[in-house]
Amino acid sequence: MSPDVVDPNKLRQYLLGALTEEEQLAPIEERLLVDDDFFEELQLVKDDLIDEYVKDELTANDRQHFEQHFLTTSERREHVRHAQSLARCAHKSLQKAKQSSEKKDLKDSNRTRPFFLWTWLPQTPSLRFVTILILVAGVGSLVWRVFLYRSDLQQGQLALKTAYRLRRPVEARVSGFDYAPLPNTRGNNETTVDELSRQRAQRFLLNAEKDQPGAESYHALGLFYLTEKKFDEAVELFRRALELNPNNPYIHSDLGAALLEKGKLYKLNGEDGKSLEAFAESLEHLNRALTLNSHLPEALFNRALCREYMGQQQAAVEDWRQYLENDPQSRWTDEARQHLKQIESQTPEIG
Amino acid sequence: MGQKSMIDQTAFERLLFWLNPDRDKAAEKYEAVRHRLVEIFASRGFPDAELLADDTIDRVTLKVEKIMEGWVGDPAYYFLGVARKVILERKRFPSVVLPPPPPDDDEQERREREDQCLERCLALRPQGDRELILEYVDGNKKQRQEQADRLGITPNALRIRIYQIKKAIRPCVKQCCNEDALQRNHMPQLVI
Repeated sequence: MSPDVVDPNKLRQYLLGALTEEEQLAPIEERLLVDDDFFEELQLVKDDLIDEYVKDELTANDRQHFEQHFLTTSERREHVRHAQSLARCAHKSLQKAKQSSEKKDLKDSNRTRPFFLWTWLPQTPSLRFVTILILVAGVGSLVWRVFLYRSDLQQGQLALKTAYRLRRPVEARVSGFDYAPLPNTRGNNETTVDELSRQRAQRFLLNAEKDQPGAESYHALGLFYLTEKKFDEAVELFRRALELNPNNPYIHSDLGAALLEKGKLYKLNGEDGKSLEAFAESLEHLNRALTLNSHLPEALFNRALCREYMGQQQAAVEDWRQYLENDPQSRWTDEARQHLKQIESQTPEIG
Repeated sequence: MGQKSMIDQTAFERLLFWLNPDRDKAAEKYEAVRHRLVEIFASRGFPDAELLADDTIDRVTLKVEKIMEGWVGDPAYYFLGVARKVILERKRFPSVVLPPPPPDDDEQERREREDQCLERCLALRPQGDRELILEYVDGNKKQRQEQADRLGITPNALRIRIYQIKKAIRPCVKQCCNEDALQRNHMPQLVI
């Protein structure tokens, strides 16, 4: 581009409809048609104008021209909406950064503030003693409740994690589970399961679903069935959980995982139509999870896997690369790298 | 525009050949000419700029066999001549152009959808693009200068980089918003 021979002000006037004589318009339009750099500069000036309009930096006269002349086509109005959306995101991002910095300052200042409990207690010794007893009992109860007490749901979730700490039962990533490799041998159903923990998990999670029905308990029991490879039951429970909590990215991701595993099973059994349907629905839920939380590693991992099974090699490569950007150093990363390497070696034209 | 039905594949192929004997380059040139014509009509204040650009191209296509033999120079200039004729006709006989549609009732919902789609599309960009563009958009002229200095590039180079990012994101946001709108209208959309 040669900006020294392009007058951005002239282009600006052109875009705002301030040039009306054919003698003024003709040279600009001729250049636009044949000079790529000139056309690109026009796009840049257009972008600047939109930017100034959104930030309310145009003069009153320019603003009027902008609204009456420039904003005539739907494409330009779309560009303005896009710029407004960017401005809102930028503002939100700045606010978040400020709040985060303020919270940190408050936390630091709170550390130095002394807590004079003693002066709040009653002056009479006997009353003071009773108050202290009540406070200690209350604090003790709180400590027990927060740190020691575990509901059926929590116990069940913990037991399930423990059951599969050595080998994971399915290829897809499941939320809340630490890394564990897949079984080494194909067709071998041995998953090195801690059977005692598995039974405990089953007992607690079934109780939780019965006594505390809700999105959390349905989700947790769904995870249990997923690890049992009872995919229909898992899908049913995840769907029930989503009815109660439709914007939970973890449930969407786990439902995606269950459908992905179901799709793989159909494929193995030669039921290609059902397999494709399951993969497609899995992809919908994984996309939804990523819409709710764009950096959710489980959903990113599973989406790459799903696309690979669907034969969408290019999209799978892009997803694996995105996963590696988000999670550059974990044991999951090694698996992601292996998948990427495998696809790239099988389809060298990709990447 | 009843002439549209008279434009056959042969005439179109002839047009492409006139633009460039190499088919791929001809297709690129065609798109470039169309895009620029749309820009010219839009900058002249015509809301139906795309229709007018297509009308111009159709008129050229109908006459291309007669023009191409004697024409010397870039065919784009011929398109411009026809475009000017179209502009004059429109000024003499202005068509009824419908005003832009009123904004959706659910303006808030539309904004939220756009913002979510934008975040999603920014997340698909290479690391750093998100921070780069949000800092630029939020900053004033002085802050942008400082941003450019920090990156070790000129303000114009930064401006161009930001424009390239915006250009890349727009189709992604548009597609995301369309998909979301379809889902909200309960139209089944199988993602394959």
